[in-house]
Formats: sequence, structure tokens, C-alpha cells
Amino acid sequence: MKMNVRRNTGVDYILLIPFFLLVFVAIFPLFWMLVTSFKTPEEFSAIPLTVFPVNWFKGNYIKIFTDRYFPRYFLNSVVMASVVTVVAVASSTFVGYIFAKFKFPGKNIFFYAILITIMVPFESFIVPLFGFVRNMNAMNSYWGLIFPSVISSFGIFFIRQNMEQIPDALLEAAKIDGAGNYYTFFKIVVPLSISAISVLSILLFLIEWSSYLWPLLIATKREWFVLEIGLTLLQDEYFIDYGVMMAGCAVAMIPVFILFLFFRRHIMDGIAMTGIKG
Amino acid sequence: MNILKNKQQRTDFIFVMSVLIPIMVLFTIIRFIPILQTFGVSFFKKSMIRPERSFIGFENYTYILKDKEFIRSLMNTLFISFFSVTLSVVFGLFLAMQVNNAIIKGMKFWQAVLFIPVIVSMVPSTLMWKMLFDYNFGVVNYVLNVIGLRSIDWINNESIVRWPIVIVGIWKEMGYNMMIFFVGLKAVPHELYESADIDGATKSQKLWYITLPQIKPITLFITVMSFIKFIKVFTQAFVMTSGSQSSGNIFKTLVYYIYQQGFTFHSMGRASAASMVLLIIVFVLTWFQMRLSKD
Repeated sequence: MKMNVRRNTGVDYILLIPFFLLVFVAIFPLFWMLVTSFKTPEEFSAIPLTVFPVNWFKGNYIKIFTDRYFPRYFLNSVVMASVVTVVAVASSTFVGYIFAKFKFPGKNIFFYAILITIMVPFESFIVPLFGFVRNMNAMNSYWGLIFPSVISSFGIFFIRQNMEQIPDALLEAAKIDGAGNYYTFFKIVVPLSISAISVLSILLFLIEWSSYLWPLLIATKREWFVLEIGLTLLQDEYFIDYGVMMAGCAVAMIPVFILFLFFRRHIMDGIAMTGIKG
Repeated sequence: MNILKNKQQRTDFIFVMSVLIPIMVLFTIIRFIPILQTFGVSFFKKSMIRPERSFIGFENYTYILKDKEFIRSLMNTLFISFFSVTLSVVFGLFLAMQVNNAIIKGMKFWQAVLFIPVIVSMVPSTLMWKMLFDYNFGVVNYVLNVIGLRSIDWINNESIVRWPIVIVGIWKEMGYNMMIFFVGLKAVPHELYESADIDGATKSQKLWYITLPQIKPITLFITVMSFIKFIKVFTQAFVMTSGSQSSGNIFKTLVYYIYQQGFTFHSMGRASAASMVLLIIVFVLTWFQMRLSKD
């Protein structure tokens, strides 16, 4: 029977052509970014076009790293994305746990109140949120960049779904042995949910690393810009120096690529599983 | 025993409250209040910079619905959403089928390659495509010239720049859809194909009568999810059309309209009314999706 399943016809092989065309489309911009980042302004504007740089010009990267603000943008992005991830994951883990494993008055009301905010797009309430942060004098500060993202209603929901799988008997046994709530949480619940927690961490980091609109509103001084804003400023001259800009893009992608290299399965399965991102 | 149970309940209650109270306070400050404020302020004439306000009923709504800029932003958003969603769903399904069929070796590798654009942030993605579509130095125009066509000004013309913006969206979304479709294809019961083989079904018959009906729910799910995502399109349109090489004609989307009303014109009322329109669209789509997943 198995023999019948795998009978490839010519059509199957022809379909590989559009398949690899799409693979090419997926990879070409990244490839072109890399080669352009090693080209001098004269070279990327030259006709005929060169694919690989004649001399691998490192000036663009030197310019990026010695730029007065670029390293600061990078630092801001790292701080913003890391703090948001740590705080949002920690809070989601605690809150997901109490919703999964405890009974208390008003539980459903609280849960649905949190759940309904998943549906509300962030963009629809940025105006009052911005007013709030401005009134707190939190413009141009890490506090202002980070504060609106430290909770994740999706994260709470996701963690709760996972922790409901933990058998109650296990937690009961720990309690009978005299373990306190925090002990049970850190020694039993967290280790059992570690894969959900790491999927959530990676997703939240990726989302926060790419956030653009909120930092655009909150940072009005250059030293508070994040990478996503800083990159667009590299085009703010009469002539776009694509070499420098692409070097900036390449540097901005390094953390993401490191994550992808080490956690490829987590990221791909996680994203397919959860159906969020964005 | 009874006392112990009560003590246990008390410590549990303290634990729950020590988690619940701070999180509900946070949710109130940075979610519930701003959401309710958006709704409330949409009925007021209120400036972003001055505290006074006056109640004007539905005037903000009638203003934006008559505003040509608003209608244009909405149309632009729907255009971007429609093409980004349909094409990324079609490509995603096609890619997932190829990966699933695996008629050549190394498909897992190509799947990972196809997934890379999903994790690249929106700004670098847009800048890369902006470079490819550059009027003078872009590869796209270069290829057009080589095959004897004239260069196209992709970025500065509102009716043309929508295509590069759509392409960025497809580029980032197709790998994502591929992953979800891939999971969906794996879940199609194998027996269906085996019995079809016994009946001597051809490949296209199996595709048409087994695969497509089986993944219909997941296709609808992905389509609505993507729509919810693209209704909020802002970054790729804004980055693609702002900056020195652009004419300053920013390709306006719904979120851009909110941004402009709120932060350029300082009209909180109109920005909030536009936000409510966005919210209603997303709610309708979400409701639609919930109904679909129930069936």
C-alpha cells in the first residue's frame, strides 16, 4: 500500500519551480542586505550592478559602531525587549497559575476581563495611554517605553492553558508534604511548564524587539530611540546611503538570528501552535 | 484536620490575592481605563494638549466619516489587507503542501529558510524592500531596464507604492501561514488517502476531494487571523513612504489616520472615534472567527 502513496509525477517536479522561486523571494532581500552592507556608495550605485562587493568594504559597519547614537539605540532595544519579556513572562506565569489551579471568588469575571483585552488592538487605545504616560512624565525614559507592555493577556491565557495539564494530585501531594505555595510554584509548577514559558519568552521578545509605533510616540530625544526608529533615521539625508543602512539592519537582526539559530524548533512550533505574533 | 484545611485555605487566599491584586491594578491602569477612555473621548471635543473638553455627541464620528482622508485611509488599509492576506494564504498553503509532500530531500531545511522572514522585524524588512524598489539603485528597476522596460517610481506614487507595501506583508506572512498549514496538513487522517489510493484516485482528485475540504476550517481561521493583523497595518506603509527619498506623501492607513489626528493635529476626540472604528472592525472579525471555530 505504501508504494502507492509515493508516486511522483512530472507535475510534482514542475511544482518545485514555483516553490524554489518563493524560497528565492524569501531569502533574496536578506542576501542583498548582506552584500550591500559591504559595498561603498560608489559601488551600490554603479551600473552594471555587481552582486558580490569587489572589495568587502567594512566602512559601513565601522560607521554604524562609531555613530554617536547607534550603540545607544541598540542598548535601548535590548533593555526594552529584555525587561518587557522578563516582567511579562513572570507575571503571566504567576497569574496563569492562579487561574489554572486555584478557586477564588470572581475568578471567571477576572479571567474574562483579561481575555477580552486580547481582542482589543493596542493601536486603538494608544491615544489615552500616551496621555497617561505623558502625565506621569515618563516620556523619554525606559519606564515609558516599557510600562505599557509589562502585562500580556495572551501570555496569561497561554500559560493557564498549559498549567491546567498539570495533575492536581501532584500539587496536593506537595501540600501534604508541607510545601508552601511559593515552594510548589517554583519547584514543581515552573519546571513542569518550562517549555511553554520558553516559547512565550521567545515570542514576546521577538514582538517587543520589533515594536515601532509606541517607541515612536514615547521617544522624542535621540538617546531614547530604539533600533527600529534609529534605522529609519539612517535614511534622513538627501542621499540614502544604503550600505550604512543595510549594515544597521544586519546588526539589528543579530539578536533575532541568534535566537533563531538556537531555538528554531521552539519558535516555529510555538508560533504555529499559538497562532499569534504581530 | 479541619483547622489545617482552613489554614491552608487562608494561605491560598493570601497567595491568590498577592498575585491577583497587582495584576488587576496594572490591567486597570494600562488596559481597561485607556480602552474606556477611547470610547468616552470619542464623544468629546478634546485637544491632546489642553485639559478642557466639551461633549459633542457623535460629531467626531460624522466628521471622520465625511473626511475624505479617513475614507482614503480605510480604503488603503482594506486594499493592503486584501492582497496581503489572500496572497500570503495561497502561497502559505502551496509552500506547506510542498514541504509536506517532500518529494526531494532537505525540505525541513527549506522550511526553516522560508520561515526566516517571519522573525525579521518590520522596519528592517521594509527598508530592505525599499532598497530593492529604489528608483535609481534598486534591483527591481535594474531588472526592468535589462529586459528593456523603463524604470518605475515605486515609492513616490501612492497608487504604485501600495504594491511594495503589499509585498513586504506577503513576504513576512507567507512563512507564518506555511507553518500553520503544515500543522493542519499533518492532521489530515492518513486513512483518507489510503482508501482513496485503493479506489485509484489521482493526485489532483485527492487534493480536491480530501486535502482542501479537510483544511477548510484552518484556512478560514488563518484568513481571518491575518485580516485582523493587516487591518492594523502601519509600520510598513509609514517606513516605506517616509524619509528623504520620498515625496512626503505618506501612504495613509487607518492606524496612520489615528496617529495623525492624535499626534499631529492633537485632536483626541477624532483620533478616538477613528480608534473605535478600528476596534469595531477587529471585533466583527473576531466574532466571525469565533463563530467559525465553533462549527
